[in-house]
Amino acid sequence: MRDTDYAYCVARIRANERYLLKEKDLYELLDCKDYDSALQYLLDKKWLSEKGGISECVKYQNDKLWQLLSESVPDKNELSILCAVNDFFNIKAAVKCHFTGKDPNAYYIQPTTLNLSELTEKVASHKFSLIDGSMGKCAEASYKTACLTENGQNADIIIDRACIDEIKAYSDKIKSRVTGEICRFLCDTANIKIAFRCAETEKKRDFTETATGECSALSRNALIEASLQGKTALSEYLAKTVYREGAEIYLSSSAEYEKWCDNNIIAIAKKSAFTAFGFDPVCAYYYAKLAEIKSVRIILAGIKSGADKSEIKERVRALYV
Amino acid sequence: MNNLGLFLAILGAALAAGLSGIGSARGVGLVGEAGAGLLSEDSSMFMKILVLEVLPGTQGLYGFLIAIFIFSKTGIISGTPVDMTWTQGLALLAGALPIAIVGYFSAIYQGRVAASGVSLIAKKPTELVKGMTIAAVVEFYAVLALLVSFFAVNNVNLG
Repeated sequence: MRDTDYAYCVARIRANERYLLKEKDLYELLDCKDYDSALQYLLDKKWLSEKGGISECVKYQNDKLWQLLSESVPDKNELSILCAVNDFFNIKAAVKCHFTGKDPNAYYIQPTTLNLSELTEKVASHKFSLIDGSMGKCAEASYKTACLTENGQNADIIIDRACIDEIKAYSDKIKSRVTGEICRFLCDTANIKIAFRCAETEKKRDFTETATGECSALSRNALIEASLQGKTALSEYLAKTVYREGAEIYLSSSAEYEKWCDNNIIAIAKKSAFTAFGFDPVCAYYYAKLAEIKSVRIILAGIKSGADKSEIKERVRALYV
Repeated sequence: MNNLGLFLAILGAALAAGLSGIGSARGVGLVGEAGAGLLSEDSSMFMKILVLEVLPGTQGLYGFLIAIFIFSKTGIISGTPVDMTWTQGLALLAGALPIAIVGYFSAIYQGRVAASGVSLIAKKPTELVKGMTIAAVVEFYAVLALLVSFFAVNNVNLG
């Protein structure tokens, strides 16, 4: 597909970028005296269609985002990479809920390219081959592992690994510079998190190797070896890579690490601010909107729970505009 | 041989009008696509989009002018084509090439810049003049090609 095929899409995206919340808006939201006035503020900003709670806010914005993207892009299949993390999460929810007997609809997340009611049925009837591409294979492998080992964690890592490998494979073939860079960053940072968790819980080689996916700016083998030797060895290895800062942050707090990852994705996305055509502005807008939604959710949850303003402010993500 | 000269002259006119017209159509089409995207979000932008959309259309007009000039010079318009040698026909064809080639490419590139201008006004609605100016700069080279074609065709002596 030529980059100019995105002319219509990019113009719509740029028009919508005008309505993204700015830092000033978030601080105003944070200054609202209570939860109700915060919701009213969002209503006034047309961020909400009608008064509801945090989940209504998130749902409304996610639906709006997905509607815009799916109406605008020349080929809807291109959006699958943006939803890869959500899609694989939903597969995991379907497999887990099948075992626990819970309703997966309570765990499914949006946006997703999967038909969720069909997914529930396919997993329930073990028709994994009917699930698209690599998702079907990893769902089946995860299901079988869960049956054999009766260990949910072993089943989870198969799906997480498949997700990382899918994103990495996509990043290798995509020509869009910013989207590729975001995908590579997502893979590496997910692998770092896995490596730290494996090191913290002293996982064995088999588990660590199964869980660790393909890397981009890291050596997968070196990461696994360092993880098997423990957190100190892992930190020492990562200190020699471009992820030195992320590793240092992870050691102090995993929540801070999540924020660091989100902020870095926005920093990469900002590179597409001057791109006139192609998929990059679409990808950048998607992550910009996700960061915005996450920040609003953090602020609303913080206000609702009566958390200190400075504490809430520390957790708010960097914005695109 | 006389027919070959006329054929080459007509080929020159066809290339001038055809290539620059195709370029303009592609350029205008691209801006139109971007414009439709913006209009779907903000219909008040119609006039601003229209200004940007017509910019890549001028190359097609320049090519058309050179084609008419060649037709006029060779007597095709009046219905009485003049006798000319193949070298005279070739000279007219060569004279038409600058606007044919530059018109084709500059219209496409101008379309890209103007479509980017649509994205610019989508984000900053008050920046139409800047969007127009950057797109109009591309026009300069089409105007140069038009002048070269005009002088070249004008100086072919068919007497």
